[in-house]
Amino acid sequence: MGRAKPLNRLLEYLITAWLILTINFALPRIIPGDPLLYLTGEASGDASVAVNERTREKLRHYYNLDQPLSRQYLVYLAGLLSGDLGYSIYYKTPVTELIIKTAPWTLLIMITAIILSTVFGTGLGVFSAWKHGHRADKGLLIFASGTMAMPSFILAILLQIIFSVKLGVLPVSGSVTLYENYSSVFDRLLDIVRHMILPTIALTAVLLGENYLLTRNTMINILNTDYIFVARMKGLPTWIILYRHALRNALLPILTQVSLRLGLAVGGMIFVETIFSYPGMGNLLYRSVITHDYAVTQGVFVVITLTVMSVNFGMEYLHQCIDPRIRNNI
Amino acid sequence: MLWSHLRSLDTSGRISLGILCLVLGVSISGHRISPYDPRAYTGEPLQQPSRQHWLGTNDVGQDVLSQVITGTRTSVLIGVLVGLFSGLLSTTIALLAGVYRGLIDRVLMRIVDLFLSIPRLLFIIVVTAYTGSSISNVIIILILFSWAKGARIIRAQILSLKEQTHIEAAQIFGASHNYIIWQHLLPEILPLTVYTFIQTASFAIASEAGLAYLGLSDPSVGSWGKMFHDIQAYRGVYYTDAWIWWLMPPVFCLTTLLSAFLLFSHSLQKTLNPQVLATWDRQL
Repeated sequence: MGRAKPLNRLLEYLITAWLILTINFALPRIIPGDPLLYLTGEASGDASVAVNERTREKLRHYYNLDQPLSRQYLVYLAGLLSGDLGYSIYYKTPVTELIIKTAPWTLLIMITAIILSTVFGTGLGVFSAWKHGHRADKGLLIFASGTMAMPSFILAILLQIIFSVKLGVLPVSGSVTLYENYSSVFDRLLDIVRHMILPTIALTAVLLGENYLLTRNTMINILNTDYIFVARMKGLPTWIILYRHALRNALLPILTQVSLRLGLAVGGMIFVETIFSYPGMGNLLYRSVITHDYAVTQGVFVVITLTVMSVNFGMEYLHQCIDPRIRNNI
Repeated sequence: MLWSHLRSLDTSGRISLGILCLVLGVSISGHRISPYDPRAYTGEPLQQPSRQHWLGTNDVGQDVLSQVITGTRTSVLIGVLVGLFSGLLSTTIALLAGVYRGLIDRVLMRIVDLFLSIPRLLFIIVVTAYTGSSISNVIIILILFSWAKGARIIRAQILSLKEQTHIEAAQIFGASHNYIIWQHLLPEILPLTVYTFIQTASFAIASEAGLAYLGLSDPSVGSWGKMFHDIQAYRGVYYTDAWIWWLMPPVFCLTTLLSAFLLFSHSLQKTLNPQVLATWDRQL
């Protein structure tokens, strides 16, 4: 498979990013009806605010809806560049502020889940490839397929019922205990960790199966190559062959693939945060959709999509820089 | 062609195919085997399973079994429709790109890349928020965001087929693009189309259940996701035992159906051209 030069790739990503921003601009405008109705939430019939004619005119002017489309578009792009994502009608706060407030929680559980699923997925994948065809491999394969067949929201609901409601060992929802006076920083950290355990497990499960399968298949191919055969002939210990010889070669492609599956994790994140009422961006997005707070929906949408794309591009670029096989294999 | 693939399925493939046929049967005969109207209030709220209500009743006294059966119909309808139209779209685009190559191929593949790199579920949720969530809107949106994977994989198969001697020979003898598409390519990519159909149908069913759970699918259509939504709106039920016979039936049905899809596509995969699927794995 040929790969384009990094500069071309960057150009492609930039074009994609521009397309996404344009879709975001066009969406409320190509749907029949006045975009203002979407901004105030009246389009759906259950508005969260009542707006009189004067305010309407003011809003129309504020959002430049009285201007020609081309001008609206330029103003929209300029606003994005200066970090202005509009104003939430429901929360009565700038959207940027809401996102800055929720992003750390999302990053906390997302990054933890990505690390956990990569470590465990890769570890189990290597083990499975080494035991290829044996009972342990088959068992793991079935288990991984099982986790992939279960949608993240079902797993999250079941985890919540079992561990929070029935056993009562972990908190039901939220990211911290409300109105709690912590006796020390350590107590506070412990509280945060206790709240993030279940959401993180549910998110990890979304990625674990994919990572495992990817590692397993890559490693099975590598373990069949000549240089691994030579390493075996030399009588090297198994773990050195597996981790120093084989995995080292497989790791970079695996990590790149993992980053490309980030989009998958985003979907899981929206469900998991909603179910556990975790105060992250996924939950913010859900609330904004339910309350028809379209400025927030659009803001979260743009921030998440651009982040995912930047990570994808970064990983792909890094991969090309580090791995000479790809650089020369154009 | 397809028949030989089905016959060479392994045991888990056959079992999962059986489950899929069973689910299809339930969904077709749904209104006949359903004991009650799923919307009628036929009993006391939150009853345990009994002879009148095999799976008990929900918070307003509707029969859970009837709701599960209606949900089966909705899920199968969405899976089949989305799978069919999305498969048609992927096949058409793959043929356009793979047969004509050149600029059209490059443009189409860039579009495929775009669709593959975006977080799908996020797009689906945001677009539904704007277009409204009638069942037809949900189906169209799911089709729109699910064809890209299949287009890529079928195109790869077409490219590898085009290098085979019998197709080269046909070209040398002056066969038209149309002739090659209908006589050679379509029959040979059919199993792969079935494979992408299965994957898309499974994605569509899971996504619709998720959307309905969030309350973003058609509220007038009974579905498994809608049942989850109702349960979640009545969370107190978790503190009694009622959730077991209210929540677990749709959970069991959904995971069983999705597992059957997964196992079936795994088994089918083994009978397909492994090289094309390997390329596909690397490209995603």
